[in-house]
Amino acid sequence: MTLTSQDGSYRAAAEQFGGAIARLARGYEADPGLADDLVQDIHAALWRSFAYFEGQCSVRSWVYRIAHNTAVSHVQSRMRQGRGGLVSLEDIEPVASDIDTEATADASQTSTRLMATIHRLAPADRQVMLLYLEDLTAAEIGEVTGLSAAAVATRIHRIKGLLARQFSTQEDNR
Amino acid sequence: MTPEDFARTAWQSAPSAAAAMPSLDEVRGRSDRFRRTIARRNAIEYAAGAFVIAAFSVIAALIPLPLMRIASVMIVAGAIIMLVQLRRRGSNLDAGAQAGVLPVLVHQRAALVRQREALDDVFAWYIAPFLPGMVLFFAAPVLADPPAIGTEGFYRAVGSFVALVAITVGVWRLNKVAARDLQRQVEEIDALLAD
Repeated sequence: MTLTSQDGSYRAAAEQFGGAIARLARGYEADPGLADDLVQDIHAALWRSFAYFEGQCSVRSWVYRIAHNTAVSHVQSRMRQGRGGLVSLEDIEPVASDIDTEATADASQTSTRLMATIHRLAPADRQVMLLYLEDLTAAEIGEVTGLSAAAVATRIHRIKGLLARQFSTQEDNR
Repeated sequence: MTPEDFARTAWQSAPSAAAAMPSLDEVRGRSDRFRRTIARRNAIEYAAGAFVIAAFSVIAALIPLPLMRIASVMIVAGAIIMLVQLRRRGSNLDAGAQAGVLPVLVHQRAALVRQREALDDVFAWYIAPFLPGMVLFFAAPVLADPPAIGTEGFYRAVGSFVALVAITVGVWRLNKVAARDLQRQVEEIDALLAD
């Protein structure tokens, strides 16, 4: 791929998925400075990657794979220093329910509570949760992560249960 | 609106301070910086290896004791083997080439397995090439002029030998522990992929 077409492919993907990349970075890094840093890293990785893109999969899957792989590498070095605090979807419910019991329907508060939940999830569960919130189908989530359709379905079922428990009260108040 | 629709809408419409896209020049600059960081890290490793090669080459040329000269040459050879293996086993996977082609968990597994194998086999490719030369280097003066048991020279020789064994075992154990931790992460991914 020539530099010009690499630039063009990157630019088109970055425009289309820029918002999703920024959200994903905030899902991986709680600290705003680190999230900004991760956004820049993902864009750099994405630009590099388009030298190798030959339509092996959809651009959407490609972008999400690059973004998640870069994000996991980004947080892994800090996780090695002080692991712990990350839990799986099976175990997170009692923790999440303690975060905020008051029903407040404000979207930014919802986002904050979601973020608090996401930041506690183990990497694979976090990947599924973030892709689910970005409206990817179960098949697309499987294509990006490598999980089987059954594994994705199980996780989505748990995510739905978690979200229902966390946001049903807010929804009732709307 | 279901709770998950509600959560999705809140997630996707949340204001993002980080949403501003970097310019193409910034992206390219960042990419170059990444390459430079990797290159710098590798350069430090190779410089350390080059220092060992240079230092023991000088010792081999100047030292009068033939056994120590042989040991120095063996250490130089060990360093060369180690550097070649470090390049073969220790370099990172090329994220640009592979991260988009492979599913996320498969790519992460490949990266973890590569690091685990490097750590797990550290004795074979990092320690063993140095060991014969180092043992001979420490043993040569003792063999040339064996100290009497109980003398200061005897205890110094024993101390050197114990220190060499302790450092070797320590390096090997640390790497084994790190490899086991990586293996646990690989097994977690395997369990997920097997679901």
